[in-house]
Amino acid sequence: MSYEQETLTKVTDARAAAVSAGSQGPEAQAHAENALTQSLRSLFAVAENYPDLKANQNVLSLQEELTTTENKISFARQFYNDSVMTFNMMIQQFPSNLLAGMFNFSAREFFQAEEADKEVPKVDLR
Amino acid sequence: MYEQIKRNKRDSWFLILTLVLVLCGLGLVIGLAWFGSRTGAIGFLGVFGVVAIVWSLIGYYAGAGMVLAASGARKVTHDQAPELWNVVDEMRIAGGLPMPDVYIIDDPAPNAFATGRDPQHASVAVTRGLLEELNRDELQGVLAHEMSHVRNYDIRFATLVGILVGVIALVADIFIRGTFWGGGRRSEGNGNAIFFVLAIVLALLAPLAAYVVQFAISRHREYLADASGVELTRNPLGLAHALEKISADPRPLRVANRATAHLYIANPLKGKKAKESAGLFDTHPPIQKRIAILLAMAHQTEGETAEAPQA
Repeated sequence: MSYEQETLTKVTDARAAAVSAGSQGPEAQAHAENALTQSLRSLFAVAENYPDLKANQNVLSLQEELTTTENKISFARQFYNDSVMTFNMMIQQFPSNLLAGMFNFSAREFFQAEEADKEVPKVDLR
Repeated sequence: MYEQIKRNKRDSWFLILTLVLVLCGLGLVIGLAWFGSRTGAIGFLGVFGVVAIVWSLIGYYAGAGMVLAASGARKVTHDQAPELWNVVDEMRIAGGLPMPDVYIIDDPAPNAFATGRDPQHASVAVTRGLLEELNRDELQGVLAHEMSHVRNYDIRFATLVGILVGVIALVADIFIRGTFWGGGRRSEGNGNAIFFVLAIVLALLAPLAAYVVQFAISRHREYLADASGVELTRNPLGLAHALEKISADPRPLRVANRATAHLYIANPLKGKKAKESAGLFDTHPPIQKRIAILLAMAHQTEGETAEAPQA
């Protein structure tokens, strides 16, 4: 039970951190959101331990919502990164680079996932 | 990608202009054939132009609603179809688009289409059969294809071309029927025989030409939407497997007809045997060829990931 309590606390903390990191630029935001994704995965893992729970309609819809939330985060990043790539290319390419130079447009930062965050989290059952 | 969207928009306007010119030429020749005099012809062209513009405006603003109604599509909310809604939401985020309206068609044949006039007024519809047969990845592939139609402004283009082709066919039809039932008698006194023959030939050929143009564009856009759909999901296999399942299903879609067939992701009318190449009057490229292209893409990305792990 203590493990479940801990998982839940982690999820709530990670959520609060992700919300507050919104204003601190892509890098801080990426870090906070990765922590949230990781804690959500351990929440999935907890649910796996209860066969009755897994078949429950509410849990199934929760799982669908968690899956889609994770997907939405990664698709939003993908769209952001695609846009950054196009933007960074445009400000270097002729003729748009002339205007970019005139108005001081500078290359933007990509939203990168950290290597460690991409690994499937280990579930430690106590 | 943005290049392709820009080219799409330019091509769209060029083709629409061509169809409008065909329409005007047809009107002028019919006018000359029926009334003989230049003023009569211009008057006819004027009336005819007004009708065509009114028709186009109605089609432009109400076309999507008519298509959805004709297909028996029912609008759903997130709570009624959570998985479908979420997958649409994911794909519109991946494409940086506003959320479209989501519809379900109560039909066991798997298929889907998108309609509307721009991304702000777009709708996607899927059949019940599609939801039942496809897994989440495959559904994502199909909806990425549909959101690409929205993103590339194919929906606006399909709507406009559909209207113009409809007007051309209607006018040609009116002329041929009118001539048969009495127009001929009227023209005997003052009509010009040369224009008369020309008008008949044009009235027969113009709709055919219009259909060929429409179908050629439709086929080209299916390939484009497959490719840009994969750009959204980064998973060519999802759409490839979905197309396999859709083509393996023998049931035709009851609610589809020749006027709406070109909107769907795969030809809903079926019946014909699988072919290697597309004919002039096919609305869709051969599905096996589309699957082969997608599988080749999957092969390519596999090679890339082996060399450098994706970020």
